[in-house]
Amino acid sequence: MDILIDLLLSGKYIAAVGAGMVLAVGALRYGGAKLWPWLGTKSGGYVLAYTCSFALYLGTALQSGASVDAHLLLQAVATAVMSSGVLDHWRDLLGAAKKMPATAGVITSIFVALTVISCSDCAGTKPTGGSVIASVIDCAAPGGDILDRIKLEALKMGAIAFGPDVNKWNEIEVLAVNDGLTIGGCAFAQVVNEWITKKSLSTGSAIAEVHDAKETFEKYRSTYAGGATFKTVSGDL
Amino acid sequence: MRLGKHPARHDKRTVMYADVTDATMPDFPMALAQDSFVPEVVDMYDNDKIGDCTCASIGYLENVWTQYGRAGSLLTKDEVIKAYCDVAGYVPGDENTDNGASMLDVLKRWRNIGISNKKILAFVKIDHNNIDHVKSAINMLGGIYVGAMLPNSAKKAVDSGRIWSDVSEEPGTWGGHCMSASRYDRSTIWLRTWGKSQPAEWSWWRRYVDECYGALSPEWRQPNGLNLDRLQLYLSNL
Repeated sequence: MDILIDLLLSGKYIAAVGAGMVLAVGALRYGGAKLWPWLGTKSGGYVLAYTCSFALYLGTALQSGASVDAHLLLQAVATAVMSSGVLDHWRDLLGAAKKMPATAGVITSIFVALTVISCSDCAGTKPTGGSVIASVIDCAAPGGDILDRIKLEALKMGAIAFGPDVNKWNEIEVLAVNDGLTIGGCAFAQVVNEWITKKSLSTGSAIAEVHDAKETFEKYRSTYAGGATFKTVSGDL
Repeated sequence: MRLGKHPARHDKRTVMYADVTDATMPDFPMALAQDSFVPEVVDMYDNDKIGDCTCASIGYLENVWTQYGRAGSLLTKDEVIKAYCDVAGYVPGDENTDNGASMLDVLKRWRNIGISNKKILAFVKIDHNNIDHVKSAINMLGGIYVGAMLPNSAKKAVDSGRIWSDVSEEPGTWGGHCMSASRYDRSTIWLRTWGKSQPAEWSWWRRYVDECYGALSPEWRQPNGLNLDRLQLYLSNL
């Protein structure tokens, strides 16, 4: 499961993920409609789509190390609305709400209000390659065997970094991209920081090398990690 | 807890850090702890009773440069208080003379006369609004000498052991304070004050820090990337 999440977070398989989501929602809607006909209606389809988008955002953010707070929930609501086509759907839903009991209408209105408020945060979300990236990626506390895998990957990258290869930082970046954010990104951040700490004590051509290492990592951070901070045992990188 | 930093003063003869680094500012680690040898709690040199923060911060920097006594002697409390007496005219026991000091005056004395038996080779002013320069200086010089205009919220945060992050108050509602810094990462800088390491967010730093210097100590390794020839040239022209 962790590998799957990492692949999703890497953003490389977003087309496949999108197709998978469409199929899953379709199957849920038309299969579910046999048991609960409301799922087959327009309103049922909208609610299903919003719920899936909301859950996808929340799930990927949590896997990236984000903590649950009002800000994250509001961003998830906003993402759900945006990814589902926004206004037309809301008009239809509000129209349906008029026919519902008063309580349902109020709940829908609150949902609309929350969406409007949270859209002020939309610019703050940083999707990369179609997936949602948390602003902080916790490299120090993920569960399961992830810590061991980060260490292993860091060892592999470290061997390249401290080796003689000329193009080593591009090589390491490719490894980081392939391993996904939680493993590849965390390992990359730690190796670059350790390498720069050691190299900045030496003299001569090290200055250009250090610059190259840092530039490659910062490019990786902005391209693949949405500018996120990597929280590691050495500090926030 | 006492404060004791006078308002920032600029001497146009002071060499800027950016002027004595190599053509391109040398890169620095994303996270660095130059004070890893120093215990979390150290002597606060009576800064809980008197306003000697400008001299206590020299003691904190010496802690780092000597790797907490492994590579040189530490400053004692008496030596730090004597430095405060010499620079600021403080007379122990006379509260009326406990009026704090200017960081620039302390630096000049440190360089020209020495604090106890310790003398720095030179000091440079760091553009405290340029976080890259601040990090680079910590990397090269082992630590920096920092002045801030603290808000009252900073006192509450220290009392409750919280990070300095609240930027809602105007600077200086509590007063001017001098500290040192030898550790940072992408989100935080740790300021050594009152014997402890106080974390502060960079946004807090931008709002409240009003002056910052780097001192070149013979006890610290020769920094890579600092152009010592150019520094000597600047100094000889003063």
